[in-house]
Order: sequence, then structure tokens, then C-alpha cells
Amino acid sequence: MKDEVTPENKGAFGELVKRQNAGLWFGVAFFAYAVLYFKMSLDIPYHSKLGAGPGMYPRWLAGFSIFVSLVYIVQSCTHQIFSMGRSFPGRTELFNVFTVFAACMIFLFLLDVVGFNIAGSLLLFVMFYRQYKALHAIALSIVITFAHYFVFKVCFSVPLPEKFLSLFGF
Amino acid sequence: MDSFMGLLSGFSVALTWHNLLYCLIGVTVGQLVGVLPGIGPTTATALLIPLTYGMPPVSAIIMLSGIYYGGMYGGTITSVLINTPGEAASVITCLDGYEMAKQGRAGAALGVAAMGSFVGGIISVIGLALIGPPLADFALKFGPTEMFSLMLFGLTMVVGLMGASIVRGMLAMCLGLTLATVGMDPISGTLRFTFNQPFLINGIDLVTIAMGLFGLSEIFLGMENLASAAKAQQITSFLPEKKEVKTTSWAILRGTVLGFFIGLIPGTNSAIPALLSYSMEKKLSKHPEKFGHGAIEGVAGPETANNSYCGGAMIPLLTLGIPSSPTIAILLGAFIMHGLTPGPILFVQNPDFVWGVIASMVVGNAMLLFMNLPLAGWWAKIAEVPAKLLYPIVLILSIIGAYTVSNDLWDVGVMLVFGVVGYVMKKIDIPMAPIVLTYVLGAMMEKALLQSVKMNNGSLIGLVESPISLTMIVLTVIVLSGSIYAEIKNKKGAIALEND
Repeated sequence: MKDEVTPENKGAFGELVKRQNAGLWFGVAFFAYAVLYFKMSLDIPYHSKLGAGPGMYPRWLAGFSIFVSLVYIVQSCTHQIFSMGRSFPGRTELFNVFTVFAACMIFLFLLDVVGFNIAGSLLLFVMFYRQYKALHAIALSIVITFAHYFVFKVCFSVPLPEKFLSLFGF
Repeated sequence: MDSFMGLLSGFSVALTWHNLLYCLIGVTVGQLVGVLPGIGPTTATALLIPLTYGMPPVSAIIMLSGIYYGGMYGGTITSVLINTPGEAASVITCLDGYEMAKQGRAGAALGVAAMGSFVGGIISVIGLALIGPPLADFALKFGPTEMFSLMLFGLTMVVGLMGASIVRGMLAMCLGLTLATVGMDPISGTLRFTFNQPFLINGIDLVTIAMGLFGLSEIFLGMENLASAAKAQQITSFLPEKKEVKTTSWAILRGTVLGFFIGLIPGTNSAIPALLSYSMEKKLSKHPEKFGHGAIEGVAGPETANNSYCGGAMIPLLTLGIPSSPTIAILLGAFIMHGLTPGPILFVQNPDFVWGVIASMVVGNAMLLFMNLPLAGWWAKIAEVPAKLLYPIVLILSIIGAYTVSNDLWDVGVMLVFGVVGYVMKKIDIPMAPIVLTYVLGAMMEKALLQSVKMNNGSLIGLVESPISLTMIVLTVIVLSGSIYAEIKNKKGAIALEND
């Protein structure tokens, strides 16, 4: 049977997340990264005709990284505890941050399809729409994007992809 | 005498109209990013590197170093007028600068800060001109073994001095070093950690990493809560009172010496001399109780120290090719992009370039003095640009900056990833500067180590046989032991506090 999401258990989940040790999770992620790095470094030759091979330095570095990540995990669990609740902001603030991230992702996917001016205007509009009136947000997004386009593409010859303005010879 | 002649020839390069223009652009952008909270000189330098591709190397570095030292001036204005430091080095200026502004003495605070910055900046450039060439001559004796030990010492300083915990510093260092191994191996050219992706063959670009860690993460932090800008205080006279002239002059002198010598140490940043200068002035003052309530030495000393630091910090870069701060690491990236190898040989092979850049710092400091005294009020108005407008503009600038690295969306994606990593790391207090510094040093260190091992028939014995290398290793052990001891002591202190 599926658990239904109610305000009560939604709050409980939020509390659970807030209680998590952010340092510990970061340490575990870094440990996993170091182990993966170590595993990959084993595929690179340790010795070469010149003596030390291209795998020597990464292998020692990986070993040291694993050691440091373990010390960090211990430190995060004992006396330097960063709980999610205290280290990270509330839901509204995190949503603001996520908005920027999502806008950037949309920009990444759209840039080659619709060009810089439309993708850029959309990116800025997503960031402006909750801070300004809709009409102002649209105007600001378009003006700022086109100003950047003019400065970088026209003045500095940066090859920003453009689909819309290229129709008019820009 | 050679240094004097070199500096004179440098002025013939720095005073050409186009280099003057680039210097003006650099210091103006530096001043601007210093004024605007949230965007530091590191981000601005990283942002503008791609735009310098088409420029002559000397003009590009003149402009980029202008951003570096210009940022130090700009941060003061907002610290004094609206109690908002534009960059880390100006945080300490808020304590007495804003208090002076509240007492109607904003002009005097800005005046001594600008004059101190100018004196500190100029004297440190003269120091750079005098110490740089002999140090470069000495550095010519450095082989791979000595270079490796020196860089190891630099890394230890980075880890030991940046951030509150050595373990967190080491974690950041490991991340930087592992990232630096992506791409071609520096000796044999073997591909490593590339996942068969062509865009990883040359490694990850330093500029995108820096823009993500410093720029984008700052935007994420700023977007959490968009607070409104504060109201600026009025400016009247720029001169200190007669009775303050003596104490201010001594504070400026002490700040100059302190900032310059701290700049020579790899791993430091401009906030350290500012902080040390403040504590020193407070200790030496006959009225330490005035500190925090508008003491003019509390503004003059730190502001001078952070500008003097900039000149000192250029010495390890120009003579040894070792960056001493994140912004200098970005500058090192710019050197490499323009086909220049910072280090002792640079003084021999490209004297016009080196002296041109050094002379431009004198010119740039003079420009900044003019910008800061009569135009301070105008700059303060810029700081009132609302964050809700500023951050989106900086975001799109960052995206364009990342895109121009190789005209590919891959770099924008990399920047985005490092933006998120930087945001998380800021939240859990892991310093980010070691990542960038070790990323820059990583490849050089590996190359030097492998060459040293090869020269010593597969042994590491060369590291202790060379006197220079041995000295560096001993210093490394001392710094590392000191940092570990401090960490353990702090841990005990923290546990004792918890028990209390």
C-alpha cells in the first residue's frame, strides 16, 4: 500500500531532512568520489619506461583523499556538526536557489535551439517574474539580454548562437 | 639600477594610449566589483579572461591585474558609506569606517583609506621592482626537485591558513588536485580520467571552475534572500584632523610593510593583512577603546595593508610562477592562455611584458586615487543597485563568460556543476580557495615530482639532498604540525565549551 502524503508526514519528512548531518553526507560523497578515483587510477600504468608512470601520482593522491575523507567524516560526526536545518536555509529560500538552477538548465537546453536572445530573455524572466510586475519583468529581460548580445557579439565578436536576429543580418 | 631602468622601460609600455585605456578599464571594473557586494575580483577576473583572447598579452594582463588591485579600493567605499563590504579584505573596515561615517566623518575615512591604499600600492610596486629581479635570478637555481618542494610548501600554507579547519582545507585541496589530473598526463601524454570524452582531453578549464565556485555560488547565496540596499551616508571633507595626521601616517607605514610581506607568502589572501593590521593598530594605540567606535587608524592600517598585499602577491607569481591567492591563480591561468610561462625565465625572455605590467600598477594606482577621492559618492550610488536586478545580470555575464571559453555549452554546464558544489561547500564551511590554487599547482607539482624522481633514478632522495628543497620540506613539516596542533587544541577547546 502506498503512503499518502499528508501535511503531518510531509512535516515529519522535512524534520528528518533538517536533522541530517550535512557534513557527514558531504564526507560520504567525497569518500565515494575518492574510491572511484582510486579504482580508475588502478587502470593507469604505475611504471613506465621513464620510471614513474602516469598512474603513480593519482594512486597516491587517491589514497590520501580516502584518508582525508575518513578523517572528515569522523570530524563531522564528533565535534564539527553541520546539520541540514542549521546550515541550509528554509524552503522558500531554497526554492529561490532552485529557480536559478532550473532557469540555467532551461537555458542550457534551449540555447542551441532558439538562440541566445530568446533563451537569455527566458532565463532572466524566470529570475525577474517574482520580483517585478510581469510587464516590467518582460521588458527588463529583453533589454538586458539584447544589451549583452550587442556588447559581446557585436563589440567583442563572441560567437553567441542566434536564430532570431540572424534573420535580420545580425 | 637594472630595476630602475627596467621600470623606466616599463613606463614606455604602460603609457601607450591603448595600454592606458586597458588599465583604466581594468581599474574601473575592479573598483566596480569592489563596490558591488557579492562579486569579488576573483569572479570578475575569471569573467573577463575570455574577452582578452584577442588582445596583446601585456594589455590583457594589465587589464586583469587592474581588476585585482582596483577591487581593493572599491570595497572600502561601501564599507564606509553603507556598512556593506564589497570584498573580504574590506570587512574589517566596516568596524571603524562606518562608525566614522555615522559621526559625519565619512569623507575623512574615505580620504585616509584612499591615500593609504595609494601609498601601500605604490610602495609595494617599488618593492616588487626591487625584489622581483634578484628573486627571479635566485629562482633560476631551482630544478624540478626544488620546485616540487616549494609548491608543496605553498600547498601546506594554503591548507593551513585558509578556513577554520585543516581537515576541511585538505578536503578542498584533494578535490583540486584530483581535478587537475583530468586530461593528458604532463610527462607521457597518457589520457587519464577522460571517460573517452574529447572535451576532457585538455582537462577542465580553470576559468569555468573558478566562475562556478566563486561567481555562481555567490549568486545562489544572494538569491536566497534578496534584501534591499542600504542608504549611503553623506560625504564632507576628505582630510583627517590635524591631530590625527601623525597616527594615521604611522598606521599607513606599518600597513604597507605588513601587507607587502604577507603578500610574499603563498596561501594567504588580502583579508589576512587587513585583519592583522587592525589587531596591530589596536595593540599599539594609546586609545584602544576607540577601536570599533570610529578610530581612524582602524581604517588607514587595514586599507593600506590590503593594497600593499597586492604588489607583494605579484612577486611569487612573476618570479616563481606560484599563485598566492585565488585571484592570482586566475591571473596565472591568463598568463598560460596568452602563451606566457610565469617564473624566473619570464624576466629574461619577456622583460618588456614584466616591466610593463609592473609600471602599469603605478599608473593604475594613480587612476584609482583620482577615482576614489572626488568620485567616492558617485561610486557609492552604484552599490544601491538592487540585488534583484544585479544578480540576474551577473548570472548572464557568467554564462557568457563560461560559453566563450571554448564556445561550447559544455563549459556552461561545468560552471553550473561547480556553482552547486561551491554553494554546498559554503554552507558547510569548506574553503574554496584551496581548490582553485591546488588545481593550478597540481599539474605543475606532478610534473616536477615525476621529473625529480626520474633524475634520481626512481628515488625521492633528491627531495632531502638539495639544501633548498630540504629547507622547504622542513618548513612544510613545521607549518603542517602547527596547523594540526592548532586544530587539536581548538577541538579540545570546543569540547570543553560544550561541557561547560
